[in-house]
Amino acid sequence: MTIDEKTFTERIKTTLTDSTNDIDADTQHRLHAIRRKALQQSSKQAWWKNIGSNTKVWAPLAGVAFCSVMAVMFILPAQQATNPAAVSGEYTAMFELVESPEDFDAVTDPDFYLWLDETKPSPNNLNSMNEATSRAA
Amino acid sequence: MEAFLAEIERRAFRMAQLATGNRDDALDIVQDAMIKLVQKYSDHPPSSWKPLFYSILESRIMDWHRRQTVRNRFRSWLDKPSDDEDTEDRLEQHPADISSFPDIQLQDAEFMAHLNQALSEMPLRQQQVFLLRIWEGLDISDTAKAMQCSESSVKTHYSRALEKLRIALKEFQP
Repeated sequence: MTIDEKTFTERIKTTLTDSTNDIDADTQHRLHAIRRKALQQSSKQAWWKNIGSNTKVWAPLAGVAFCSVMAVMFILPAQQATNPAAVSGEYTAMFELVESPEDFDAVTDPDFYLWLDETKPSPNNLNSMNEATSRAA
Repeated sequence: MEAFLAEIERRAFRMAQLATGNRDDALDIVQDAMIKLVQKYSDHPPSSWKPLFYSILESRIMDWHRRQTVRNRFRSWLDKPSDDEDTEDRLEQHPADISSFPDIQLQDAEFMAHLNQALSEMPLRQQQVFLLRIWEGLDISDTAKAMQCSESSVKTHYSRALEKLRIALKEFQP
């Protein structure tokens, strides 16, 4: 590059650079808005990129999610199965009759079963059942 | 990234404006280029941003010219049906219009006007190579990457552009 050429290209460069200082206010405002819009794309994307690339973020989240699913699948049904409240009160009363060693005589008494057939068990008369059982004993 | 975009936005706008002759289209092109750079290449090293950005910008400018070519052909068919096929490459001869730069108020306004005229009349690829080399300071290799052409093509385009500017701005040279 000769000195003349360098001077010539420098003048062109200076002139072009000066022309950017004369961009009108509206265009400058729009350029500023365009830049902000582009940078917003970056911040939107950053969240997904972090999830995808940073195991420190997604590994604990995945662990918590896995544990929650396991709890829903196994622990909660097991709790429900062993929870006495889940079994109806009618059957609970009957099981209690069988379980209790003091009431064994009543269970073996045929009159008890006749009485049981005549009486429809319901939550309202559970107490009367229990009283009758104790009387029979 | 913000500092980089702030630094290049005005020059990018001027380059797009010189290439399109239209302010709104130039702004759209700059917006597309910025968004694509941020979406695709923000995790690349900052030293690679400039050639990548200008590569996207050039691609958008070329797309714009292709669309204009199609649009102009469609218009010419509607307005004036002719059997003569327009074989001119519009990418090589885009319109020159100094009046599209109303905001230029330089002390050396005449030089600026002639420079804009000469750049606008230049074939697009010559114009863009010249601006990337002279104004953006990209080396031949980065310019070739941005323009997606060979280094020898960059040298050829640059020397032809410089020669045309010498002729066009002859009266301003010492």
